Amino acid sequence: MVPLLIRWTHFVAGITWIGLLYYFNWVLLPFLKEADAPTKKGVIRDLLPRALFWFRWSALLTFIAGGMLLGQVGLNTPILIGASFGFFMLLTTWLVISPHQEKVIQLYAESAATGTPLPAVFTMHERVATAALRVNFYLSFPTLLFMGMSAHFPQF
Amino acid sequence: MVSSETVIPLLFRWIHFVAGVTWIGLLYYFNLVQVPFMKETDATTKSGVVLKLLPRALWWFRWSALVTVLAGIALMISGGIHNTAIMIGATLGFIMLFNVWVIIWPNQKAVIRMTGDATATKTPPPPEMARHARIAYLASRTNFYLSFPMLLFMGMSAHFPQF
Repeated sequence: MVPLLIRWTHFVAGITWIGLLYYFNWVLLPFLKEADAPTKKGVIRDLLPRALFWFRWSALLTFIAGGMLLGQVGLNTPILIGASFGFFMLLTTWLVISPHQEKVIQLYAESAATGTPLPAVFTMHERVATAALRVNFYLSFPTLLFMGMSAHFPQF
Repeated sequence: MVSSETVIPLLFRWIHFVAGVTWIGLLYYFNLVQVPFMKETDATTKSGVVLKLLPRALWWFRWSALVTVLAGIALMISGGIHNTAIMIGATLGFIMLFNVWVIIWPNQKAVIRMTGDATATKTPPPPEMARHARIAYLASRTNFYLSFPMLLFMGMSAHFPQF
């Protein structure tokens, strides 16, 4: 019963995390490229902080629940590969994507409040966050395959 | 042994995972991020989001829902999965797919169309737009709550044989 409940938590948190990653890559980034300036400003101010809150905390919960589940059901090769990918994605989420997106939000708010143009460093923060999002996006596909293999492909 | 009998269910499961994460992840986005955001943001941002962001999000939402269910059926058949837990989980999944295509999508489409017309003609949106938005919201909330038992039964089908 306990492993089942931990697995359930891992599923729900993991879907939130990777679902928001897909949302960023498939919906938000293309939208920001074509949106007009007032809409873009409103979205960065009011939507992005909420999305990032769920993104980073669901990432941490996914990883903790995954670690607990691993302790209960034991190790194999695919789970070690999948968990390594997952850990790398967690680090990217907390150490790269989140801080740079926070800077984007802050610089946007300051520029809106003072009516000054965005500083040159804004583009750098935006680009680093986007690049890290892309990396996690591509890593998510092998990660999910190895996660599935760990319980459903004993031949490996 | 690695053979088509073992690799094919694994590939269907992988597609089921990726599509399912997209579908339910966007459902959580709608319920946890977009609904509270729409309540507090200004009118310009709101109409910009309805016209430019929502159609993209709904495209991925409804097609990933369909792929999730189709890959799930293919997985059940190719992997020979028949148990009580999967029957309950799949039934909940079917109800959710129905909600997506028959309730959420047509009503959201009406909201997008009416917002577009109102913006183009600079007139207020018609009163029935609020009704469409309300119905879509309620169906989305229903799917949000159904997703938790649905995911529990999906996990049980392979990892809780005691049931």
